[in-house]
Amino acid sequence: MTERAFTHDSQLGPVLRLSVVNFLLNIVTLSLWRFWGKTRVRALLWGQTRIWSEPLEYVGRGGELFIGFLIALLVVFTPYMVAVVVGQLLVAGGQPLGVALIAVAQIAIFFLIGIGLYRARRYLMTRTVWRGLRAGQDGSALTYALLTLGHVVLLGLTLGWSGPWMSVKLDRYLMNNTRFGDTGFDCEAPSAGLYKRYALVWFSFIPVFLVLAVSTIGPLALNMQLDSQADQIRYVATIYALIIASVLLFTALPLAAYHAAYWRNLASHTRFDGIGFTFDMGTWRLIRLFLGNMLITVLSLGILRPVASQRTLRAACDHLSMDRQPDLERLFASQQAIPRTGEGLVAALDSVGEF
Amino acid sequence: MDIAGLYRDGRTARDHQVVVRLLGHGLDIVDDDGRLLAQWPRSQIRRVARTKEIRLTCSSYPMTSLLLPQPGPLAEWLPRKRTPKGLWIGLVAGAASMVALLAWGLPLASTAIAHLVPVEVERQLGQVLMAQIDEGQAICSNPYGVDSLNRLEQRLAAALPAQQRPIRVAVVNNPMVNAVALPGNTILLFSGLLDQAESADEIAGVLAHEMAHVAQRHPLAAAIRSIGVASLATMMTGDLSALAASLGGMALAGHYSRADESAADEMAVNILNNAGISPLGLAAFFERLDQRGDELPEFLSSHPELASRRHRIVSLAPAGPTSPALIWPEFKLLKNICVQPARKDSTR
Repeated sequence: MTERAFTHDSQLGPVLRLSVVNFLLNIVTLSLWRFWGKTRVRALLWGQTRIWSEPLEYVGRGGELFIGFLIALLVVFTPYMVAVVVGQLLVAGGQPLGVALIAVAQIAIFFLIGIGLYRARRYLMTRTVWRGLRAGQDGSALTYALLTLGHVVLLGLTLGWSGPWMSVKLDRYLMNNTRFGDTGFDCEAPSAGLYKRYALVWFSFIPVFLVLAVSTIGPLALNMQLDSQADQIRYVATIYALIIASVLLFTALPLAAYHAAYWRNLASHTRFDGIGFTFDMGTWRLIRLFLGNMLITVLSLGILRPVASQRTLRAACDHLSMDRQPDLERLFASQQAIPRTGEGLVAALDSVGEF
Repeated sequence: MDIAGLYRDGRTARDHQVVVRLLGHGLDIVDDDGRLLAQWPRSQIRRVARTKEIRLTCSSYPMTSLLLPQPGPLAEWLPRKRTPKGLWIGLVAGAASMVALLAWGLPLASTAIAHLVPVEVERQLGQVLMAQIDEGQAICSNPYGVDSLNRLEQRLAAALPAQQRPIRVAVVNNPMVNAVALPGNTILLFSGLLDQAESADEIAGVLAHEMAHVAQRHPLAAAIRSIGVASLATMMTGDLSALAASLGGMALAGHYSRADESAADEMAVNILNNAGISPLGLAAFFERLDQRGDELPEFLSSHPELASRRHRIVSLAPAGPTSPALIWPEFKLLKNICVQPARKDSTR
């Protein structure tokens, strides 16, 4: 079959224009526009993304994101902030209880981020429409948050070696609870095949830690004078520069190779109504995509983040394929209720881009 | 007027071959067998965003859609969206005026609010801050040095009303050339500043400058301003933990505005005159900082025009009689405030 399953053909011009309009409106509205701005970017990018030559449609509304944000503000962040401020005052007053209070607040917020990420994905799925049917996300945000917490704890206990196993487990949970219409995805991805590449990543961090240790302790050991503020700034800046340089030098390549293999593995073990997927993005393509997006986002101070999202979407469509077209007669709308407000927690943390 | 199209009913993914009838009130969608599948009122029809073919949906049935490969006259019939005239000019002007409002309005508002806060409340805040600093920083406590510092402070404060005097003046053992006034009438001199000073008049000048900030309640205004900035930043990024994090450091990080600095310079000269100390010490200190170049201390860094501030102080200085701020031995003791006297009974 020559027809591509996934294509993305948006032009740079409209995305740039929308980015600038959103930026100006964000200033005028003290950034409250961002919920509607994000919605417009998604509508634009979704509309130019086609699956079997039919475009996706984004049916989310800015108001839903805004209300979700307000709820998160009220229910999550206000209590969190009160806890942290009270904790700090207690610590200032010499009460060790303050430290415990701050610690509990931090763990709680971390746990809530897991829940928020899951709910954000559920929102995004239910607002994505193809051929008149919504996608969806079942499963429990609580389970996902617990898995995420377990992931982090295990990472620490196993010095990172549980990474691929738990990451795949988390993504399997996401995919197995993802559906289009009333038809679910199946994902049976294993993690054993990823460990060779992961070992390279793990060992590539050793020189980075060495650089970190030498650059931090070295000048102190040599008794260098750091009296003035300018000296201290220079000292910290040098450490940062060395760390970034050594990460790029030592770990970027193994990390990209690992992630390319990771997504290849995930895609090739995922099925929709019995139809398989393949994802063939190579290591270099991934590095180019990631570095380019980082530069675009940082150099534009985040204003051109929609352009980065556009590049990501285009690259994903270029490299993802589906074995054959699904049988349209078999796809029906789901009877599941859809969430009415969107991604408040994660939008509040601003940790997701356009997706 | 009939147009062939594909209809999706939102229940299955498959296409239905339909005929669309263009009527006065809207569209009728009819299938091959002549059954009426849907009626869409014209006012509820909209184009699905930005696709090449004409795709329509109806706001009452948002999951249904109509695909028209050859729309014919229907393209003209559809309601059109236009970019409003002057959109760009309006946007740019609106953004510019918002930036201006924040740049000018925030300092004004924070000063006004600072003067509304009761002095007692500010002092309590100052005590909390001081408790944190006592833990984190080494406060220099050589008793002879502290004596000299107190004498200097009392000489300067004599002419000020009680409410405007600092509650506490202390030296922290820190090599930075810096001095800060905290909300709640507390002044901290950094030992690096004492090391740099070549005469007691210079220290007196800096102290008088900080006392002027305290008397005019600039530290509280700066703190309120930085809360304002942090709240705005939080609103814009949506990251509320930034606010929580900045609460601790806000007092130290709050820069004064340019207007605050020149007001403090002016009042410092008055304080020095009333105490019979020459303001030229402050001017001399500025001059040396100016010559040091890149290593501007924090309390001056937002104001590069040291030279013009120095000239202004010189021009304000009257030709009255002055005496040194401290006699030479006292000055030496003050400079050594961070040196602990040798004590045999010390258990630390």
